[in-house]
Amino acid sequence: MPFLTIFIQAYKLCSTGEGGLDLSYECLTSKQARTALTERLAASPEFAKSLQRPETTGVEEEEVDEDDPMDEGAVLCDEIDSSKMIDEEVEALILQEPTHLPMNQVDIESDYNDVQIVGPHVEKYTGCEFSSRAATNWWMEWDATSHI
Amino acid sequence: MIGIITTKAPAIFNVTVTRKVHGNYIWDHFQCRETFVKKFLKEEMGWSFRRATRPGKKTPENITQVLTDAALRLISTISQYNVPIFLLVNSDQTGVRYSSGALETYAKTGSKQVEVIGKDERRAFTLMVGISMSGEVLPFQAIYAGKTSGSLPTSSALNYKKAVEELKFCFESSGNDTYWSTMKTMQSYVTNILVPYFESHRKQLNLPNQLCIWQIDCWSVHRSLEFRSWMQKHYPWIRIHYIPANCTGLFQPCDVGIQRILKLAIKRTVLKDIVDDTMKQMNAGVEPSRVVFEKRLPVVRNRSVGWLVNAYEAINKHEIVEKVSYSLKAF
Repeated sequence: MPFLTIFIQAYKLCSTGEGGLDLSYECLTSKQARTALTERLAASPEFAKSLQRPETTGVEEEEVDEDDPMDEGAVLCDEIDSSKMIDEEVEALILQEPTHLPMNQVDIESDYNDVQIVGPHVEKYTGCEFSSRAATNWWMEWDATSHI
Repeated sequence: MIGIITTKAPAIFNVTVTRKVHGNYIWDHFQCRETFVKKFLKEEMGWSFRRATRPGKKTPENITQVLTDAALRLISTISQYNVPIFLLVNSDQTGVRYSSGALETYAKTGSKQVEVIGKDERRAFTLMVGISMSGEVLPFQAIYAGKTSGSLPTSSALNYKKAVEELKFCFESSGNDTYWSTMKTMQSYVTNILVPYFESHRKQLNLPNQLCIWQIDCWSVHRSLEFRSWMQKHYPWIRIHYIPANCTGLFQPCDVGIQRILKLAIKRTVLKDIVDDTMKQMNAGVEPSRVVFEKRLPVVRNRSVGWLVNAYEAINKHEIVEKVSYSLKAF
């Protein structure tokens, strides 16, 4: 089967929040989904009527910047730590749960995979907590001696 | 920095460290991660990380209702037309810059005016990505600035044959001086990538007249009357569903789940090219401060083919998914 978890997970993570619906096929074809649709149609004849025509729901804000519409894309290369391994990023995605927060409280920019460097063997070179200064000093010493 | 350490002090990479990942400690060798580079530059050079400012997107105030209605629209179409899982696709376009760091730089802490080298170069291309709800990735479309095929990667580019013949990537020129997608490139995407995907699955499912769903965002070309009329005329069996405006970070599957991994894969391949360039120069006796990165457009444009092939394979790698699934079962 060609089905890959990350793509299915991508749909699942698109949630309406607060225990509502998500975009996975499983959810969109569930009894809960059909019930929600029936209730909405009953509550809003306008919504029912709107289903008959294409809905374009507004304009993307980034288009205001005529210089470069891509600048405001959701993910910029520059925001990504290239030293992360692909499987770390995939694992983070797989482990992520659809939000249960009200959508107006969701932070789109938050990073869900913070990696810290700690541990006893770092001490020799970096101090007991990660210190790039100590690591750098060691490197500079090594570099100096290697050139003698 | 990786190039310099590799050339001048490779033993640093043998230093054993423990890293904390998702609350667990794992043994590992030292890696020159961006966090290390940032701390090094801050503590040793007094430089802090600066980025060109950009305002955050303003999501609609009634966002829960907006997203719920969008989901209900999909539910309505799926149930009314009995749309199978294979026949729902989300496509998204994103800009990929030839040189990373175009929007950010380091500057002496406290400095007010920060020139970001490369920000004005606008040297990038557009990548169109599509994924089906069943979990398949469609061939990529890459759009390059220019009016002729001379603006495209050449057949001598590394992995070009694989990209075009095996993975069915489409490389297209925008027809103007920008790398943005246009009506012409959108029509080409539909005709050469989306429709063949849908047709092949309709045939496999023995559902030749089945309605299909295509989810895209509210970008001006997508929602233009011209594009919608063209779709209606040529492919009335493809129903477009729009992601509500300014909600793509929450409700566009490609944005939420795929672009980050894709861009990481691209950035890692770009980084490899930079490290290789750096090491080649340093091994030839060039001082670290005089190392120059490759920026010639025809060269980086050709390299982009390799980046895309690597990225496509990275997100299609079954072993990664199986490995992650296995580790999840272990919990």
